[in-house]
Amino acid sequence: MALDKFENSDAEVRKKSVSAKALSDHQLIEATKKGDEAAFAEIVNRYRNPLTNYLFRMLNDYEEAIDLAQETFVRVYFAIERYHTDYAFSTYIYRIATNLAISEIRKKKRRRLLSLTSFFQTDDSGDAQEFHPPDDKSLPDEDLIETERSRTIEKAIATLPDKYRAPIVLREIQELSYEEIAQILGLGLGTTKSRISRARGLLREKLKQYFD
Amino acid sequence: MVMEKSQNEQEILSADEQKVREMCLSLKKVDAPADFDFKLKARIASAKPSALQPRFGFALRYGLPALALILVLGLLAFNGGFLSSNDNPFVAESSPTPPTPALPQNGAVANAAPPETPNQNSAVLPANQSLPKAPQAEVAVSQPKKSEADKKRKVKNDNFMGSVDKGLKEAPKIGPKGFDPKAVPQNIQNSEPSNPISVKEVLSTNGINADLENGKWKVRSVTANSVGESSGVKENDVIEAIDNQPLAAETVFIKTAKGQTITITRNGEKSQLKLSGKQ
Repeated sequence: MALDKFENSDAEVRKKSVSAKALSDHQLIEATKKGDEAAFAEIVNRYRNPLTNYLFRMLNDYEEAIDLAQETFVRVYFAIERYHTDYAFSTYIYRIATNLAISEIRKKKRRRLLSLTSFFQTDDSGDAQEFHPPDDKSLPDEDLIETERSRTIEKAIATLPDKYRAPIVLREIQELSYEEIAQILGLGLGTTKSRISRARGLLREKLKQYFD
Repeated sequence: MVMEKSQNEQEILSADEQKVREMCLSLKKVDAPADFDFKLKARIASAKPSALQPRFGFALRYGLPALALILVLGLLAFNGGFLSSNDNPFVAESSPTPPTPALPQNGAVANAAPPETPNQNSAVLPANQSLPKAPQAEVAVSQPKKSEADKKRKVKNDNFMGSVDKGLKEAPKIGPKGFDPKAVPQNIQNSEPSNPISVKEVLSTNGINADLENGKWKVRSVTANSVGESSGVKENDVIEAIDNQPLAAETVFIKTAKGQTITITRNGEKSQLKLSGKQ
């Protein structure tokens, strides 16, 4: 594939992308296969934010999320000839991102086998639990309370077991349909639904301080 | 965007589940940084497509050692099998005319059957060992060789890791009562490899059931409507010879026994009877 098209001036790309915006994902893929870099730029434009958000919620690490989002696009770019339109493109790209995220989580798990957090494991799922020391300080204002609440929710999601984290993030944060989540994860519809339901239950447990 | 929104689906959630959903949705959306596209382009430009091809790490990590292991094991097994098959020099060197023992009983004949191929494995050896000494020169020559080879084999077996049934080597020699396995066979008619036919077999083929009594074949009974009966053989006759071949205790017939005439002694009188047809 001709990479030199990337060297096109921004104005040219912008002009092309105006027409590209009206196209569907599959049309953009076809155009990219023919060497239209503006079409690929439009794909990146469409998916970079959802993917970054998804990977950030999966990994709870912004730098890694960006790295894996870029890796996902690199893989899509080089494997675009092999992409078939049997699935929605969003399913395809989320699937790549999910696989990358899961292998990254596993790598991390191996690395931190002897890290400090593993001493605070209380969950029998084997996932490391974050250590929350009691904070008795009085809360200064509403903003801080809201920020603290968000951080707690983020941590609660980040400490879910892998098999529950991916479905709940795809459902409640990315707002995908059950069918699409099932396809992304390669699971049956029933399994997907039950995992999401179980993940909700686990989050309910982890966030019970806000349920009173 | 093609992404379907969950709002389209009718989903009944409990109050808690609804709250969990609201909490998740309340999280701030994280966006890609401004230089995302730029970095991505740089990454694509620097990435080599070959680096993204499916790698053969798995095959290299597990496949090759496994293959090597299989090769080594195969080589060892092959060598082991080759050595153990060469391990039996007696059988390999034995002449094509193994000693044919004179056996008065059917069962014993089967036991003493000569070795079929030179490449016999060790399990057949006990049968060979129980063979009585044959008077032929060839066999006499091969006897010391055998014992030498046996010693070698015993030494080797001490280091040998394969499976050898030692119990078979020490198998007791079973023979009929009064049969000496070391007896020198007599009346061997020729030295060609063949199936020895015992006297008892020849007689029973003709309907004469005879037993060896004091070195003589005494007729116990004669089957009705048999050749023996039609020839006039009676109970208590003593069979002296078949086809003028005197019968001793260990006589065997090699290849064939024509069985045309039979010489008997009845009440002390010798007479020759024709075996074939009615008289």
